[in-house]
Amino acid sequence: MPDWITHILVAWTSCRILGFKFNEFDSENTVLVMLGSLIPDIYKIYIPLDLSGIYLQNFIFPIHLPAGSLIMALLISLLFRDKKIVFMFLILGVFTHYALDSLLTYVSGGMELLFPFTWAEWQLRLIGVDDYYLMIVMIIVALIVFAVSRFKRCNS
Amino acid sequence: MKILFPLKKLKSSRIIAALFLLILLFSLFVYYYNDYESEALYPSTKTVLTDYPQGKMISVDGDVIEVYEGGFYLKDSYQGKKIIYKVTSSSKVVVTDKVSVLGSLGPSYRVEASKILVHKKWKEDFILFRSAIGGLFLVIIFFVYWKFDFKRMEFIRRKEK
Repeated sequence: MPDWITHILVAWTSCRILGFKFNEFDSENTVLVMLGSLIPDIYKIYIPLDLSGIYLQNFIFPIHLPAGSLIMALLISLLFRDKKIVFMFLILGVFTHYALDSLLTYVSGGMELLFPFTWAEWQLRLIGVDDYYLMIVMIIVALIVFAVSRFKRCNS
Repeated sequence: MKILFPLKKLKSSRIIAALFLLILLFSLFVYYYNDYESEALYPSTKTVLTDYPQGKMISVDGDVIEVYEGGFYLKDSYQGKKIIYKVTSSSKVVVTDKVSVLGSLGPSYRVEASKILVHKKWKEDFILFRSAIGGLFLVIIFFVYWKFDFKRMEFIRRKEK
């Protein structure tokens, strides 16, 4: 899986690009999209649990599937005042997560993106699970987008 | 009761919605856990432990614990139960590599590999390290823009629109 820096950078960059057109992508909402981009990885809580002898990886795995992430986003949005708006931004972050994860290469199968409706699995086999080049590419892209947004702000 | 005091501040509709979503999520967990192995393209260590599908293709992941001429030993575990596979493969691996193997299961946990993905341990550790930094950064940046209102038990913007 891409690391959290890459996920956060993809979410931030998407928001900055959309922010050129839509005013809704302010700093607060951008943070929500960044938060949403890590929602599927909440299931990684299994790692410390594994170390303490509680094996939940396969049980809580649906959090790392769109249907589970959607429910998690709904749960998290209940903790905010503007629940509907917060949910929309969280879901955008979740979408960026799966867009990135779908590029990964698995030895067999892939991601069950339409669970629980179908068990069909997909993968695009474009990057390795442990590939760090993607993070470097995203840092460069984010810096370019940051420079462009600064340039636009100075000119307006 | 004092412990229930914060719950009084929550609207009952929020509590009901949260309970409904938690039940829904738990149902999803149960459905997935019960069926994922039978629905998977290839069985994993869970099935190897229970049914031992000899002669069938399996998909397992684990750590390389020993390398020999023509293959390596792979340690995988399920629910704390460890299995050591003897994998026949021409792929170059070293001890501590994490490997995903698709192959045919023979007797005595032997696997004739047909496809292998090798992940170097340092790369896996590097992912965890980067993720820890990313997670920490997100927590900090989140509380720069949002704060928790204990009166209403919800997050609100620090700067109202």
